[in-house]
Amino acid sequence: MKARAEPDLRPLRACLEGAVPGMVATCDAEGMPNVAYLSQVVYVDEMHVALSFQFFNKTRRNILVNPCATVLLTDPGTGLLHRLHLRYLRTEDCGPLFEGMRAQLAGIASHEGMADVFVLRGADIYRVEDIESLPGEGLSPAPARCDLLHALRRCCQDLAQCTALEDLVQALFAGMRTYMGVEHAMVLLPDAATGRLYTVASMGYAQSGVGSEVGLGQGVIGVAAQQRTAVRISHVTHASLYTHSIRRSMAADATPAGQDIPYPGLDAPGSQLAIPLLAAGRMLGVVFVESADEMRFGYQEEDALVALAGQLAVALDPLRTFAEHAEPAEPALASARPLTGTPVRVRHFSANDSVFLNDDYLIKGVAGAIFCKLLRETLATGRVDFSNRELRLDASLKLPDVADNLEARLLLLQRRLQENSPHIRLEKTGRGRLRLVLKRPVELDTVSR
Amino acid sequence: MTNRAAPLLLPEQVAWINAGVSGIVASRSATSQPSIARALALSMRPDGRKLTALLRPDQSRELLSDLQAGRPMAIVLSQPSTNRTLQLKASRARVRSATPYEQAAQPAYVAAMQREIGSLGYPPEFVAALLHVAQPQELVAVEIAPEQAFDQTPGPRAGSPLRALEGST
Repeated sequence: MKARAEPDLRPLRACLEGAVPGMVATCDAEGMPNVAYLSQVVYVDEMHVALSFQFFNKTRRNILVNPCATVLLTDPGTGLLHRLHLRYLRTEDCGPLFEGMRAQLAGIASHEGMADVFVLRGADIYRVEDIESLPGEGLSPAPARCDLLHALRRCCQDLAQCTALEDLVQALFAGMRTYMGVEHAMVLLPDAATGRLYTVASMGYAQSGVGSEVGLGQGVIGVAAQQRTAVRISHVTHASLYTHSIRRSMAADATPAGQDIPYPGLDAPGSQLAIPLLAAGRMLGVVFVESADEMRFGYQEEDALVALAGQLAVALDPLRTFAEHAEPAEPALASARPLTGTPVRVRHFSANDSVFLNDDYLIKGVAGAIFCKLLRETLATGRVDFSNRELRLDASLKLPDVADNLEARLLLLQRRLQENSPHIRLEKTGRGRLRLVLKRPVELDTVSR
Repeated sequence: MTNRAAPLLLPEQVAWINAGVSGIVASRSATSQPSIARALALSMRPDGRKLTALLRPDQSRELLSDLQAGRPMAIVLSQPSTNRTLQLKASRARVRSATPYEQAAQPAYVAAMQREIGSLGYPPEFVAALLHVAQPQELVAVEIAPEQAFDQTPGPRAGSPLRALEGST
């Protein structure tokens, strides 16, 4: 019955999704056994699992005196049973595994209507000493939703064709939608100056939410960025702390009234997965996908999307400086005819570089400063063509550091203008080049404080 | 296996168990390695003094060997649709072959669990696979007279005793 000398948990990951709760048997110093339901049995690696430590219960007391535990798992597809013989090693109360489990538990707890009582105190790490697959007459496993390895290959091929951030993000969304059936997604990039992440593009939402912000460590997305680990929740409900803390904190946090862009996420998500974009040892952003269905993203989807996010990160990283090497500019279009129509009133508050178009909030921070620099120059000299390089070299823009993703800020600005003003556009005219297009007269008013 | 003290369980709890709940049985080895298996049928005597669980020997070799050696048993009884959960414990269990009546009644337990787990969206075939008995005549019955009972419904109160009888461990 013993499956193998060297246990390998990989074939059992489907049993660890929590669809059918695992059961754990332990025994106390007097030898009395105890059985308990497990909220989470998390795959750590081929030979380790983590169980959630939520209460100082009998299981907890038992493993501290006798580190042996036996877990009964059920395959949610086939109904077959597996037994894991475990040995308790240690408890982690911080770090990526703990934070990932904490986010997941918040989803489970809200699913069970117990968000207030389910608090993760620790991730108990166990070594798997043996795996037994029990005899039974299981069902045939359901066919896979799609061939994820092939889907990944197609997505990567599409990403490999891209030379600019905007193309990359669009190729990512199109690939995930076409090959993997993902319907709702966002890409967020970090702003080193504010320590927050901002949405640079999204797919499948009523409002794009471009420019909306999430703090590091906040919600599924913020935890993924801060801990540099994928965070996956299979049961999310309305009550989920992890979804709604984002909205709440956006309302309360450091964002002056009228300057918040609503977070675009689903009102009632069933599953969510946030994946950090990691390359060259840096966290370059987060890819976030969600679905109205519960259990939409399993370990397999997480594997595929983490690999895809890795490709995206590697492609993004050089773009950040590559875009500085400008192609020769096309000749600037002469502004042949004078602009007519009601002028657009642009107000710029220099304290935080927030910009309002006719009293409607547009953008703030570095992107706001860039916009005003371009506009000021156009209004003063008539010049409409600019290069990334000159923006990079302009100390007045206070770009946070050399590694800051200027391209992403330009994309953000471009999108915000697209969504909020038909009269002012920012166009890319080549690698590292951009053009400010005005279709109405503009009055720029800078308010210093 | 009889106890003159008042039964641990209320008639309502006995009825709840007999209506169809899932059962997970555990014991431990001489070296305190826990053993665990899923019960394929459960029944409780109406007076609440004896619980019987049926097991497939090929799925529960270690557990049966531990119980046959006279070691204690714990069983968690749970209603998946509500999460209501009880744990019963006894210092020893009796292991015997399932009677023809118990063998014949096993499909009724499967049907009850199909209704119960079906309410969570699982198809009847899944429950049938989970509780499948290829050879009813091989089923083994384990019986306990519960000595301790605990409320095990998930949450901070999980584990609080319903009552502890004299002499229980």
